[in-house]
This record gives sequence, C-alpha cells and structure tokens, in this order.
Amino acid sequence: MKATDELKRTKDTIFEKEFLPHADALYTFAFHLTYKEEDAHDLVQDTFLKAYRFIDSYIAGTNAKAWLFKILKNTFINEYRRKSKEPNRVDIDDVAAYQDVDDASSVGNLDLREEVVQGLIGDEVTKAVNELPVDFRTVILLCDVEGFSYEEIAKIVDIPVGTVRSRLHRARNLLKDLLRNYAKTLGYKEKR
Amino acid sequence: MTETTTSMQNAPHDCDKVMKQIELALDGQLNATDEQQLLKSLEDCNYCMNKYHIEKSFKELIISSIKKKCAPQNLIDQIKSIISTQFKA
Repeated sequence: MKATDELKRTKDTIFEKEFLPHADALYTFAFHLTYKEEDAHDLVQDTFLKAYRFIDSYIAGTNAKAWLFKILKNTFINEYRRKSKEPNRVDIDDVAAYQDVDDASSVGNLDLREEVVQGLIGDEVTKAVNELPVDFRTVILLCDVEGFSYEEIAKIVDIPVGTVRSRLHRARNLLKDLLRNYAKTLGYKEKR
Repeated sequence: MTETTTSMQNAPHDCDKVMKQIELALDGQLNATDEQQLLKSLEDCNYCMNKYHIEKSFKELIISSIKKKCAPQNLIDQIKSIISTQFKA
C-alpha cells in the first residue's frame, strides 16, 4: 500500500472515531447560535470540512470535542454572524455596563424555585435564553449544556478564564432579569 | 490538611464568599477539598443553603429549556461524501 493511502486511512479513522461522534453536540450548538436549521446545517458541515482539512494540526486522542467547538465558533463569528441578522444583538459592552456588579447580592431577588419553576414553564425560559446576546448565550451553551470546564471554554472562545467566569455570572443574571420580567408580565407576585 | 484549609475552617462564615463559590461548585470548578468545605459552610447558614438550592434548580431549569438536537442523517452523509470525493489520497 502506498504511504499516501496509509495516511488517508489514518485521517479517515480519526475523523470517523474522534470527530463524527460529536456531530449532535455541534449541531445543537450551531442551532442555538443561529436558530435556523439551514444555517446550523451549513455551519456543522463547514466545521467538519475544516476539521478534515486541518486534521494534521489535531493530535489524535486529545480533546477533539473542544477543538471542533472552537472551529465551529470561529466559523460562526467569521462567516455567519455578519450575514445573519440578529435582531437581539446587543453590544456586549452595553450589557456589561448595565450589569457589571459582580457582587453576590445581585444574584437574587427572585426565588426561582417558587416563581419560575412553578409559574413559568419551559417556553418562557427558552425564550429568555434565545434573547440573550450571542456572547452570553455561547458561554451558557458551552458550560451548562456541554459541560465544558472554564478552561476549555476560555480556549474555545479565546478569552481569559476570569472572563469566562464573569461572563457566565452576567449571563445568568441577565436570564434572571428576563425571567423576572416575564413573571411580572404574567402576573406573578414578586416575593420581596 | 493544608494550611489554607485549616484557616478556612477557622474563618467566620462569609455569605459573600460562599455565594461566589456556589456558582463555581455548580459548574464543577471546585476541587474536592473546596467543595467539601463549601458544603460544610452551607450547613451553617440557612440563607446560603437556600441560595445554593435556588442556583442549583436555576441551572437545571436552563439546561432543561435548551433543546438538544440531532444532526440530520443527510448532513452526515453529505459530509462523508464531500470528504471522499474532495480529499483524495
């Protein structure tokens, strides 16, 4: 067998065994970034093709999932974010200025167990997540849905670990605010 | 036991500090020692314990509201076919 054939076979094995198993997770991530099946489809396809093209820079047996998520996230930023009109896009600095308090007391005037869990069912929560600016949604998806560590998220998103932590905190506070507003609109009493 | 752990055990309960640790704990970012320590300090304070459960159910609520998707089979087939035709040995 020719050496090139051998090389191709090794690549195909890595692709098949280490990359493809993450297709569902990547598709979930892509869908929640774009909210369009069509865009998620293209984004995942581009991600896998890039991964194959740059497979030499991937070290077999290492963190394939984080590597693929990074490719997807970069592809999204470079190619999709510009063209996809995002009505809820808020400049991250605006939001940061609006809620830059990293103090614990900002955590809760709302007892989520009582008001949200009992009062607001899934739809409102899904709506609130959808309304999060994409940079905030990204860290929630990576941390809460995919269970990446702060360190992995830092690498995927290209931000320092400390920023991952504060961005997650802000994202959650923002979600709580959104949910609190829904709760009010729907007529649930504030506890305090 | 390390010195930090001992000093933490002797330190008075600090709600603000506990609040910060709760988020880290729920995100799986605390080591076993710190997590044990946190769980112990929660026992000492109803306020913190309550917050811990609120934050925990909040995180679970968020997770359950984000729908997991399956990559469509035609997408997988397409990717495989492009690779086998465009990337030849």
